[in-house]
Amino acid sequence: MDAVKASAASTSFFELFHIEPSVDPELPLLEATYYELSLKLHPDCNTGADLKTRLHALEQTTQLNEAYATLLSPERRAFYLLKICGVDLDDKHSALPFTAQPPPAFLSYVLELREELHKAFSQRQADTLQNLERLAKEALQKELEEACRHLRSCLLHRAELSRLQPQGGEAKASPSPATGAKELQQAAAHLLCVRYWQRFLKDAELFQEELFS
Amino acid sequence: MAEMATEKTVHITDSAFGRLQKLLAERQTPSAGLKISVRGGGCSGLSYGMEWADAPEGDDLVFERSGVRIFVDPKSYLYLAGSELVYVETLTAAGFRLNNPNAKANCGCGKSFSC
Amino acid sequence: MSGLLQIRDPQKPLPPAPAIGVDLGTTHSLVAVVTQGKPSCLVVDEDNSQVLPSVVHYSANGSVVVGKYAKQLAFQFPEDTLASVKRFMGKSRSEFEAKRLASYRLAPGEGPLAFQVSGGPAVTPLEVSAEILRALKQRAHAALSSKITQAVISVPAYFDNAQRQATQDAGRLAGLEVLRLINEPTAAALAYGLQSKKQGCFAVFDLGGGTFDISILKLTEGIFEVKATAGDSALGGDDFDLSIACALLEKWNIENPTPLQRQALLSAARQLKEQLSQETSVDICFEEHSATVVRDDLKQWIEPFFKRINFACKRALKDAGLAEGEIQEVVLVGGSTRMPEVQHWVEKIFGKPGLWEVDPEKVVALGAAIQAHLLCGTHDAEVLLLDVIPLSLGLETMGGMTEKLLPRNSTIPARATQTFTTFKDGQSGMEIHVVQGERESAKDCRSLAKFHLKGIPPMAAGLARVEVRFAVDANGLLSVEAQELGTGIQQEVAIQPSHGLSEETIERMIKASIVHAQEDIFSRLLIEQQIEARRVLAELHKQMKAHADLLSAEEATSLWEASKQLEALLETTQEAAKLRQAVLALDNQAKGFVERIMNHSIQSVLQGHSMTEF
Repeated sequence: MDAVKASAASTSFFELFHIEPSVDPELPLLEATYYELSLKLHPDCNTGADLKTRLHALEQTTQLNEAYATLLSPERRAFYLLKICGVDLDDKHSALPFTAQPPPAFLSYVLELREELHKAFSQRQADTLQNLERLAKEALQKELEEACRHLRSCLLHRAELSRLQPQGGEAKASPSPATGAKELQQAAAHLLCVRYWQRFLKDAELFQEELFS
Repeated sequence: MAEMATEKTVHITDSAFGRLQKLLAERQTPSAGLKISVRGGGCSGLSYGMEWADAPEGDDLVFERSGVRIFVDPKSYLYLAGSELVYVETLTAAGFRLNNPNAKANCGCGKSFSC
Repeated sequence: MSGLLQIRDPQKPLPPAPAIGVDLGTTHSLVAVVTQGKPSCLVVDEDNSQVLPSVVHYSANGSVVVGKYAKQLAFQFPEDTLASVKRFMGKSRSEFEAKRLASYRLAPGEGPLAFQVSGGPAVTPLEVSAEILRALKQRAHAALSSKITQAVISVPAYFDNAQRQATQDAGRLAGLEVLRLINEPTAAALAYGLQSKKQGCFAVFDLGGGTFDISILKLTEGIFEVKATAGDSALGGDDFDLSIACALLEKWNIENPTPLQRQALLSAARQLKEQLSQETSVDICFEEHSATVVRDDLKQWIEPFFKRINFACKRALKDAGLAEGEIQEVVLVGGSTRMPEVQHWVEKIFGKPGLWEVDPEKVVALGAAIQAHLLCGTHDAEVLLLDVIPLSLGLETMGGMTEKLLPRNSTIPARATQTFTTFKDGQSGMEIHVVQGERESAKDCRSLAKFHLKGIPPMAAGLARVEVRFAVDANGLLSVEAQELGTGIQQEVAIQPSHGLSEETIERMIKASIVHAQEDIFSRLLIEQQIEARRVLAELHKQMKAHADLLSAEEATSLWEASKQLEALLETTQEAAKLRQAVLALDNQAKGFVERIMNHSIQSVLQGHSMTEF
């Protein structure tokens, strides 16, 4: 179990799909690889095999499903790339290398919209709820695009570093580590804002669900 | 009887030949043959039956293609003369079919026909 | 396409019993099986019907009647005849909503949700479902003449963990190895997709007797992938009937209807609904009351359900990341989609009319049979199903909020891990509450399990790290593990089935049913012989009519007499062996006649050649 877990943690989801970490993977290719691997690994395609093989198939398929879900969704993919670059926003236990707080103007804007959301719900205004949802979606999209822009730089920077230090040699990298760190911080800041909008959208959906049931 | 057999055979098509060869090899009985018979019953009157047989029985007619043999009893031969045996694979099913020029109506279950 | 021939090997025993596919429906159940590569439904009830009403009658002498006869007994014994129990699968006593028109008698006391019936102790919905499954299994056995042990059982896609667990346990209780619980819309897509050979994005709109599911699937060659599913596990044709019945009660000012009145009125409401699918206006009489109901009345009575259905469809599309226009076809499944108003809803939601290319009432059973065939592992699978969990799975965190570990529409098998920490200094235990649902507050979600992880070594708040691991198998059933990472203390959490029957109780019930199996075998043998006798009689009579010229008068008389005797025996005897002997005797007596028919047919082929030439 432990060995399996360790390998799951170290194997990059991108590696599983035989592609380089990227902000913009080719989705049809991703799907084709997912289907191909599923047909090979899925327990239902190994029904005649022995128990050990089937358990292994189950484990592999579970990991494949997790990887595909992560890489397919632009939001989950961005958070995952940030993690590869060294910042895990999901891990509440590790300290972030910078102050993780969106700008005050952003916070007050979200709070304002939240108030409107609650008001619309208590007054059962389905149209307003939908409008607010659309607004939040657009805002999320914008933050995500910004985050992706910075993530692209981070990945480029990371690739250059590894190119210049093929065997982990002593050569000092010419791209300044400071630039990389700055891009990473920017990407993280925008993804934190994405988190706020995600929570907002979840609430908007719940409110609508309650209006209809 | 022998003359009739050369006149009208039960033809083993390429698809059926390949499949039978494979099945015989899997079964490790290369000298066995496929016995095809026509019986009463089935939803439109008469039906086909297919089973492995080690050797022809009694007056069975034998049709051969490169070592793959089909045995047919004389009564059934009356129905089967001129038929061809094909092997079909589709998305949902795989199996043999007899294309029988004598059959007027094939039934839904594929096993029977009327004359 | 006609079936294909398979080669029988006389040296090998008969092929293993096929695994069946069961559509365990709220109002009707069906069983199908793949033979020679083709799925078909089996005859499971009187009048050669392939549909078994999901109705179970418990009579005073302790015997159990399932199907059409049970349905007829409902009028006489409304309280001892249970219908639509699927609605109560996996529900606890507190979740039981006594509907105004339901005539169930809830068993008194604390235990699991159970109904009081005459002739024995109270029965749980799980046991009632097991009776239906047992009947299907026995009747499939009779139809196929081979022992049935394995099954794929369909469940609404929107069933939660408890409802799935209850269904699986009902299968075990009926003596079936449940190979898989398959989601109903997915089963429908499997049958539909393989038959139509179409590819692309499809919506399956499944409105049955008691449940509603909408699934969005992508069909490609080799893989059928469920992109998203949504629904309502308590919305179906039964609710329409109830709405109609309530509206009529109100119209006629009937207060406090008796159980008998309820039963009659519900049945009348159903009939009214079905008639309005054909006609635009229907007259209804009930006792001294009467009314004329038009389609617009019906539309108004069921209108409230449209909102819920519309919302579920929109959410499924959103989760699948697709717009209405990207859906190639909407496949209709379930008896309630026969209603013109429901078809109108579909068009309103998706902008195109729904289609039935496979019988909407059979398609789920056919799909389940295909999956059973694929899973029994004797050949390479032609198509792989990738399904999802319908509801998010999570944990209750501080302040009664839920933290989702696996979001809804995650592809199964799936897993998720989350670490939690202590919030008090020296805290030695941790309460872990597993919930399922979308709501923010844990108390609004379904509680699946609660357990206490003990033995965390004393340390400052926030330092202990407890890892909780969720794993969902291919049936959509969840298992949970928790581990304190510092000490390695680990605990596996049993997700207690909330149908209230413990594992021991179920084991005991299974053992008890094996004791009864002996009786079952006798009744099965009898059923088989009865079926065989009827088949032989029908065939003989047919041939005697068709080939009267090949029979001498004497022969005809003696054959008629012999067949009359067999018919009489069929009505009276309970002994399978006796019946078998009689069938063989008749067969023997008819031998000469049958030979002549065969020769006659051969002669007509030869056009004048006689058999003696050989």
